[in-house]
Amino acid sequence: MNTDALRQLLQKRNRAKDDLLSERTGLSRERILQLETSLEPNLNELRVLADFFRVDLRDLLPPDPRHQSVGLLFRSGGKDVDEVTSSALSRRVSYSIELLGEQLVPSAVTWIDKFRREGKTYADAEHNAEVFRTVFLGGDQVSPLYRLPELAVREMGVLLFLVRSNRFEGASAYVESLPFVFLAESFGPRMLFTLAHEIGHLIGHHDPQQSFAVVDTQTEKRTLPSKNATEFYAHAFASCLLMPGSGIGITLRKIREMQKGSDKALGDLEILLLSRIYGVSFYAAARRCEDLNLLPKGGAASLNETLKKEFGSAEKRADAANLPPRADVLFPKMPPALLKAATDKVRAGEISIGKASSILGLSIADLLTANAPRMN
Amino acid sequence: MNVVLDASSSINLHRGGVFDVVLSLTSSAFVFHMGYIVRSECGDLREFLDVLVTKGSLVLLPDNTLGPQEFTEVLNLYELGLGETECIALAKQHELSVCTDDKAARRAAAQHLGDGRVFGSLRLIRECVCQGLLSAQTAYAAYETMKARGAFLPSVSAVYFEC
Repeated sequence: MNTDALRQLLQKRNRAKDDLLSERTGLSRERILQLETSLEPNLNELRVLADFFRVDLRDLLPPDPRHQSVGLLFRSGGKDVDEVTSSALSRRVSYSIELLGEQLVPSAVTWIDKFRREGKTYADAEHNAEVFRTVFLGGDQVSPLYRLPELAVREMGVLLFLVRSNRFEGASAYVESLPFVFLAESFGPRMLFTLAHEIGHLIGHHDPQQSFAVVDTQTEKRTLPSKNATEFYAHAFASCLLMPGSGIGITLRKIREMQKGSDKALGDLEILLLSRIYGVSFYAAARRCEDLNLLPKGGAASLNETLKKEFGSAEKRADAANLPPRADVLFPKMPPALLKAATDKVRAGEISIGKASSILGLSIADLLTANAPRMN
Repeated sequence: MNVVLDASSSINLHRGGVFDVVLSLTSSAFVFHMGYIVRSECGDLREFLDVLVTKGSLVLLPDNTLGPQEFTEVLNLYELGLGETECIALAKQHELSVCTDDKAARRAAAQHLGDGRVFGSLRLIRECVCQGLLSAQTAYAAYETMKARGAFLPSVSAVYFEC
């Protein structure tokens, strides 16, 4: 039994909701306490607890020895990485590698040498964000980057997975030279920022030839460079990539022209409009404005708090002001190469549909539908 | 015959529009079972399955008698999905036959339980024809619908369903 994982879940639970836990799982409070401290659960108990905590049952079972090396990699990927997270991520990575098999092309990460990888300063991040736009966007240093998910998958060869988790926001890894990114499903702009943050990790400092993993529980909040230079860099990279300085300048000028605006300080509505145009959250946009000296230091956090207090959230403020809605950002649910490899292998009887469903994070019904012959 | 169904065969039978008919084989000495993990893997079908359980056409097998260690051994041995593993473990424990439309799961089940205890949804549909519950033509149409909706099924001709 992966008793560590179950006990961590039970120990970290919100005890105020124990009545709900008992009601939903059918387990008595006494039994829950026993499982938390000493007794071994049966399969039924594991299943109902996995359902309640919205984790995969596999992550509460004894870990497959074949995934242990990748599991260790994720466990060392951050201080907040729990057993369930490292098990879920390592399982997906190990299975993906197994599924892709001979299709593995370790030399696929040809773009890595184009980036500056030794520095961790804001200037290094800004430089690499510009290089990224040169390499993948034909030098466009102005436009919003809604296409980042597609670009990551198709141009960078990133194996991008969406996962349901409230334990982390994003994770990235190189395993057997393959770049992996995991995004927890949440508010779209936050996911876009997290994706950019994880790409920052992939291009920033790590050598694809040497396996590494990072798990981020909070990607929009920037740490001090003295506290964690790598995280500081990844945040700065995401900020500069999604909101290029020259683009912000041009956009703000246009906004002010339309408003016949003045030279007064940047207001919350202008930042909200920027955030909607660039597909990021209000806080991320305001933070970038701080970096560009368009807002005083601490202005982003202070404005964000004010909007929360007065309107409930920055988004509600934007809606109340009738700002144009956000553009849709599409995230592929799974790497397309994996879906094809999975259906081919299920058809050949090399893996079962249940295992393929687990690797891809897709229901069995959806996997069957994906196998349906196309009409044209 | 005591049969435990997996998610692929259940979804396929439902998509082919013949799940109800197949489960009516209960009047011909078939008893159909399902585990809780498989029920959960059936997604949108769950409410439909619960109605079948209430009607007595389907028996939900409790999983509190399966030990996680024993379950994990089967899981790691055959590297199947959770539901397929549950089917095999329950079949072993309750002496059931396994109905699965997955090639890898069938191979694993045959290895674990013996060849005679594994088959797919097509065999059940054919049995419905033999019992006079479906015409061979309707059975073949159901098969074609299942294939068109993505089922991983072998190629068979209409003759297969003649009884």
